[in-house]
Amino acid sequence: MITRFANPQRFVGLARWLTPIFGWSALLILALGLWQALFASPAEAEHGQTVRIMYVHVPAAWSAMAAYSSIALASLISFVWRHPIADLAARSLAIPGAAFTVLALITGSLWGKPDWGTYWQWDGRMTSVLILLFIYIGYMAIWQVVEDRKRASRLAAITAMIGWVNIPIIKFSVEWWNTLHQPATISMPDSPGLAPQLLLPLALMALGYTLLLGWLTMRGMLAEIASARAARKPAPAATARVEAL
Amino acid sequence: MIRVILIRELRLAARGASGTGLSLAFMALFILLCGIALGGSTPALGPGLLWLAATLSALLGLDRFYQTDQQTGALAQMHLAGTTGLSIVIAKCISFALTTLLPLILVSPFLALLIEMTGTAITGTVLSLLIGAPAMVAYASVTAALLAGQRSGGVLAVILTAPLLIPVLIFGTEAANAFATDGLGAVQFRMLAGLSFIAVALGLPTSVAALAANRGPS
Repeated sequence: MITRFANPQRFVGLARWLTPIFGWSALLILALGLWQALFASPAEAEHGQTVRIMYVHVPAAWSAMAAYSSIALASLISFVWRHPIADLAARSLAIPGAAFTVLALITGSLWGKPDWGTYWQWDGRMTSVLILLFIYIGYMAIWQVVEDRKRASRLAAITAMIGWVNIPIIKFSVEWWNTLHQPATISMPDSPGLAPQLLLPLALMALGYTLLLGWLTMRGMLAEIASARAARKPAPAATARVEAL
Repeated sequence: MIRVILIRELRLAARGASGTGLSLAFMALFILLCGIALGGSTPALGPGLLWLAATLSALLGLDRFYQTDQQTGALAQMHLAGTTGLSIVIAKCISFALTTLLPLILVSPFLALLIEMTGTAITGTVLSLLIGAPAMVAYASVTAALLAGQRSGGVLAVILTAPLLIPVLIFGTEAANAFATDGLGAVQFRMLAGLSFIAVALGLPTSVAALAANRGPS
């Protein structure tokens, strides 16, 4: 599997038909999920209508973390096997992942205001998501500033991996610090305990976000491959071969 | 070989090439600005301010960690001379600790007087800085190694290092505060020492890998 898709040509072949599937099913499921979340599902007893923010917020936070984990995994594969496609995947995941992190932070604040009476609380979870955003920014900045493509990919992979190892430590310390400073005043509604009417839109939205993340990443990877091809000056014989393909 | 590089670094520092003076001036200026912005003496904020000042001042001097030697070719020469990557990193880390971080920690008690900290608070802060220093050096080394090939990476260095240093900052200031009641045996000091060990274990190999990536033919 890992070596099979090290060939960009083979990957492009797969991505050509996988990308539209991701894109259209993301659109469909997000539309269905949003309709369920915003109109069809009932308001929650304790939180009232503000519970609808959850359907946008919780999947965003999940996707943000899933995207970073995928970056770290892809970076490991790229670092150990110098796998070109893993490298593209890591790079293409960064912008959607960072965007989901921002979305999670913004919707979290908007939800916090009516529920806790404050936009921001130095709660362990919120603080570590904010730190995750800065880790994303650092990761993307490495890609930006290092001009040489291969060197950038090695350095970015190292950055992603050391960030990944540190995330549990950061999360633990922030939680420890938080409980020391302020007794726990907040409890989020725990998602597994949700009623089925609330769980259905949440599950749909989570699936939709995942597909959207997949679509954005695939698009990013295809664009990277295309621009790498455009940058390369092909020898005449090679051009003929690419056209034949 | 570590000793040879170390002697070279110390000699360079003695001749004023390490920018220790600038870092010290920045740290003093930072405390002065905090004093003014926060309205005079702020003893309760003292440990946090000193930790911030030391961290930021150390990060400002980051481009002298590997960058200068990368650009002059000194790192490549050390490599050609058969020095292992790990020896270079260890020697560089020790010299950064001695020439940049240690002076900052040593002046912090005097700067603490500006914000009217008490004797115990000052002792606690200096001890916590000393115990957290290995972590600061190790993560600074990682960032400096990642950016070794860059001409200027000042702001980026801070953005890359700060998330890694957050746990150290948390336990460092907590340890400084806990010193008054629990002394050196406080659990925060042990956590801080643990974080330092983790940072060294992670930071040294990572720096070696990053330097290798910056050195190799692309």
